[in-house]
Amino acid sequence: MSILEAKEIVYTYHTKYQRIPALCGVSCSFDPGKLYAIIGSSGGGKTTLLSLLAGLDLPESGQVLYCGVSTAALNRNEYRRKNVSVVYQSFNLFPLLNALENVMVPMGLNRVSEKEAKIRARQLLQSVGLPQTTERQFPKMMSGGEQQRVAIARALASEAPLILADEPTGNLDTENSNHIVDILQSLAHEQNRCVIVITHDPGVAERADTVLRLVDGRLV
Amino acid sequence: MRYLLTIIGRSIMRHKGKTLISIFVCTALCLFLLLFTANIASIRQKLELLPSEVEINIIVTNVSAAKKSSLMIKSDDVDKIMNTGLVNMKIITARALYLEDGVEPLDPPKYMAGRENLVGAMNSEHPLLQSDEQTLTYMDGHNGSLLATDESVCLVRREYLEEKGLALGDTVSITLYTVYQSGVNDLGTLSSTVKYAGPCKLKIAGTFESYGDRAETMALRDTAPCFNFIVPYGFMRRFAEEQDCRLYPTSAVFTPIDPYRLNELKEKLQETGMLQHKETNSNTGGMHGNTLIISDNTFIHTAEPQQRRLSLLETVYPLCVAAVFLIAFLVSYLLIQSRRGEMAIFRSLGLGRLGVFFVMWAENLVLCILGSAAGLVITAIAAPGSLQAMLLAVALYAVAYLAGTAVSVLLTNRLDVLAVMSAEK
Repeated sequence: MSILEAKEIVYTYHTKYQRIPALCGVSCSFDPGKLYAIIGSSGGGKTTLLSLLAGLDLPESGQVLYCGVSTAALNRNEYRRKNVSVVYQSFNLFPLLNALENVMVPMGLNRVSEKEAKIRARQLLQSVGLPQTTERQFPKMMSGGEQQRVAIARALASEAPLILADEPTGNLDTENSNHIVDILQSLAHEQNRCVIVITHDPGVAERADTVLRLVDGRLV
Repeated sequence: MRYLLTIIGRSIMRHKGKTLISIFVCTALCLFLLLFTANIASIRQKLELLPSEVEINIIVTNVSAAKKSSLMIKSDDVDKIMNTGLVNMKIITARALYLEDGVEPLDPPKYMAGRENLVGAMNSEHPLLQSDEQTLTYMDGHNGSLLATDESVCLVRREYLEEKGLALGDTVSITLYTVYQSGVNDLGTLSSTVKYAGPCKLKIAGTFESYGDRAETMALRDTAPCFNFIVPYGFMRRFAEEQDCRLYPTSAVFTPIDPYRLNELKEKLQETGMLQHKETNSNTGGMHGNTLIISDNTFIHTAEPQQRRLSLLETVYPLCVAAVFLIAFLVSYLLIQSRRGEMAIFRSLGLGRLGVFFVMWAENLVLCILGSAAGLVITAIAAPGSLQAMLLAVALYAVAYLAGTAVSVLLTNRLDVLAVMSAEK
């Protein structure tokens, strides 16, 4: 059974002077244990699709189903706390929290005790290849690659089965990009998570199990 | 909740610049409102104390001011003034004549000058008594409050007491005659009529030394009015009523209960017909009777500017509170805008709008409390005043400040999470 399914979703942006259709009846499904890549040109609707899959918004028509339940029927805050994690191109770490504290945030929101959260956060940072010395570093002290690893570690902290990544390698050099994709692949294949990556990078698309092309709001 | 509080604490400690700016703004706003309130409270206090510092007397006096006329006030007029409900009686005296037991009255009774005078008073304040507390002595168990009663007691002039061989506690029997103004004679002066009132017994409860007895020269002795008895005014009034006689007070001074209702009082006094222009005799055109003089100039000249200032400050005060709200909104909006990214991260991690609002607003609550404390301490040192007024001002400031920040957080909280998160793409 698919963990996530999009059924004929339509989404339109309404500005003061015009209506901009972003998605026009997109249907697709995503299974656990696979790495998906969604590619397409800018303005194709990739980020919009990501926001709907992440429960940040609801489609105008159609449904996003998580384990068969529409996100419209779910508590979307809880959905984002426990079932889905998002990794962004610009890392989006809390600037005034160090690496360890950043990773602990999702656990804190899920009411995990501080002691337990600290132990788990350390493990997660190690699992993404960061040494113990980076624990106390603040984002501005870290390289792009390190920051993205912290972001991935934070995404794993809630133990969500679904991981969405919006251009995770967009701000990284080739070496770091490869490392990040390695991690994402490992999450999908070894931890049986469903990993969906939006990317312009053909190198990332090559390594995905399934590639979806989104052009002008439609899957081709 | 506990975790969110940890986040709030870390944010306050680590956002050093923003925290300092916020505390500074909070302190400045709180101080502004506190000093404004202290100013208002100070003026209110001055106005409250003013009646005790500047006394207003409403004095009954002669319209004609002819030197030889004696002041006789119809007791109806006194009642009319008291019935306004806006005055307290401060001084009232009445004069009567008496004959000692065994002394045959003249027929018909005539006005008798000299020492056979008796004064009724409600306290020892009036200068007509020309006695002060040092010259008054009381029998054991009595004090000056006996003049406020209607008991059949009296104070006796010391020389008279010795002359008559009387002692404290003795009872004297006298016959009282009331004196009242009966009209204007052919010479244009007031004429008085003496009327038999009746016998009474008075217990001697104290003594006094009159001004006449203390005067250094014979001339002063002769001009100083002398009387041998002081009785409670209440006794005289009661006695006159029992004997169906008129009693005309010779002096009456009132004080307004609430000096700030002077205009209302003057309107009511106008109805008594006694409130005339306090001009000189020439303006009265030979009129007779009594009039009221209200010595309110000093009070009015002191109170009016203060009241105008107070009125202005009280009018502006709500605008100040609104200004606090507006400044709080603007400052927090500008500071919070720079933290939209953090708010979006929280939202994407599953913290709802309410949770994000709480995190951002609670930080401002802590800063508001710190600013209030600082403002209170500075005001307590620089311009100490009523604690109640200061706390009220702080409460108003806190409500305005937190409302302003709440609105700014609510507006910012409507952000498009993904748009903000993808802003650097």
